[in-house]
Amino acid sequence: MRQIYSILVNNHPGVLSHVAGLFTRRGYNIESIAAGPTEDSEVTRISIVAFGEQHELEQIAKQLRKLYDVRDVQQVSYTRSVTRELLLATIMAGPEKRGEVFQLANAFGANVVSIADDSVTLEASGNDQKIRTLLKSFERYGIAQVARTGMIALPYSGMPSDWEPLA
Amino acid sequence: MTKYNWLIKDVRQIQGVIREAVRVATGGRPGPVLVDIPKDIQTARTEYNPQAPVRGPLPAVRQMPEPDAKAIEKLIEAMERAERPVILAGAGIIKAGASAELAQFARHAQIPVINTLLGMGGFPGTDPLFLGMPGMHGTAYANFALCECDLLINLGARFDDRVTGKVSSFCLKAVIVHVDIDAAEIGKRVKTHIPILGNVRDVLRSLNQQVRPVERRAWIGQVEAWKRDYPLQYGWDGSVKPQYVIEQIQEITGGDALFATGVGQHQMWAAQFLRFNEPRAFVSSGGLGTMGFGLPASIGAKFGRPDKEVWLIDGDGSFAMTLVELATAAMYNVPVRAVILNNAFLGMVRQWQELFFGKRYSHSHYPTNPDFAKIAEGYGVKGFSVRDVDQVRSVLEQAADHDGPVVMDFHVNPEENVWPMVPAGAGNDEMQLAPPAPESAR
Repeated sequence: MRQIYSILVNNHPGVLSHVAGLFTRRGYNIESIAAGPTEDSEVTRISIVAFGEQHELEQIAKQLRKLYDVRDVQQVSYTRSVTRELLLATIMAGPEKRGEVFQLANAFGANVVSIADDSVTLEASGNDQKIRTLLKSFERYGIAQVARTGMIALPYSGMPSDWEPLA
Repeated sequence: MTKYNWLIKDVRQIQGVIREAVRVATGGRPGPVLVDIPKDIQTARTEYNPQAPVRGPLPAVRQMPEPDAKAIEKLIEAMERAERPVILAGAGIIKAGASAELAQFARHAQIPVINTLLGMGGFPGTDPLFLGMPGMHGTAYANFALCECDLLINLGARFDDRVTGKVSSFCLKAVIVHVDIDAAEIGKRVKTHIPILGNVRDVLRSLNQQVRPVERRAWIGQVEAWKRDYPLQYGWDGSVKPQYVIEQIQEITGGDALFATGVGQHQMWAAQFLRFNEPRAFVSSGGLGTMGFGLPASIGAKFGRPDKEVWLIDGDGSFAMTLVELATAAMYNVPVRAVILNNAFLGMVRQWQELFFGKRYSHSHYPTNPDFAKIAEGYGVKGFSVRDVDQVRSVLEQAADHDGPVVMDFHVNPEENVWPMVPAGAGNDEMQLAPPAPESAR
């Protein structure tokens, strides 16, 4: 199963490599990693998506909490958080296909950021499912290159503590 | 390797960082830290400020929670239901300074105690409840007890693979309790029914206030029978047996000494045949298995505890790795008694090659070992070379009386194996006992 870790760390050089190194050394798989500043200039938030067995995912959280520079580790659930990822993708489309591509991009709320003779570069943000669906929809035109930021996440604020997702 | 490391870039940081480094190293689960002080900082000048501030709280040590009272209650209930309880006591007992609490608990509740390699000394080796070491080279009775127990109380041990053997057949009949100061250890390798996070001394004190004395005649009787029927043993063929040398050291010292070791067969025999009377009496490299650890560690131990006699039990392979430290022992006239159980092999490697690789001895045989007694003499250290079993006792006694460092090179039976043995990857229930020995001629 997959798990998002939202990790608050001291904003020091080398911390990201400590955190990433823990995953590599212990053989856990990282799907994506994203780091950036927070409201507190001394603190960085690292969002990591990893997958493994349930007990492995628990063990990762415990090991992360042992790191000196780690202030807090939250195992964020998809249903109880906002997750977003930013995507840039260059779609192969000459002048005759552009109309179609624009229309499809529009349906996903994606913006066109650059146009070349034979391609269109799009920008889109969304949760994991949306980004995957979007990429799949453009596959038939040919996707020349993709850059993704990796997932970032924040727990929903103001969600009732007894809220349960629909089964 | 380290819990944390610092690179000092400004000499003014040095006081704060050193204070913080000590706090991190000694807080929570203790461990090494590294402070990297570059050359230019080493020679820079600064003002010493005894009140230099230390940085904010460390997650791993901040607010170590009080042990969960409900979990302790559960443990007490489990103890009342249990008919065959066993304690597995690890290095956590020693680090927490909880030996007295452990002894009180075990005796009061009448529960036999197994000590891990690094937990040795945490419980008196002479106590009738003591079962020795578990696992790969543990005693038969400790492994029987692990296989048969219905309650396993792990106090500050990490369920190392050398202890558990194959996890899927570890303590199958038992309710498993794990007391540890490090949350990441609980449930890491063995599924735990009653986890208790906290300092093991706090937990034991709380238990000692609540536990009612009981008698466990049937279970204690069973354990006694195992100890009687499956003792540690070795054959006798006229050669110098390494176990015999260690038994003689035990007799001469009465266990009242500090014992350092290297890594390998001799280390296992030391753990099996010595009886440690107090915590920190056994100075040995466990998890990392650092060959060459013994001689420097024994010198350090003597400096740390000048009131105690210090013995080094080493192998020829381990001793050769750091024997230049004889210069230190000679220079400061440190009276360590270094015993080399010299089989001209990397003995544990050879044992595995014999048992699991069809006796194909590869890179484990050292027939051209130097004369360690002569090397010692070269450093100005008293040296003995012993090939005759009849000289063992007298050489050990001479060494014990010598005022200064001594090296004793015992040429022991080269193909002696450590028994019992649980093969790597097998369960403790698949333990192999020593092959039948020829009739004792002692």
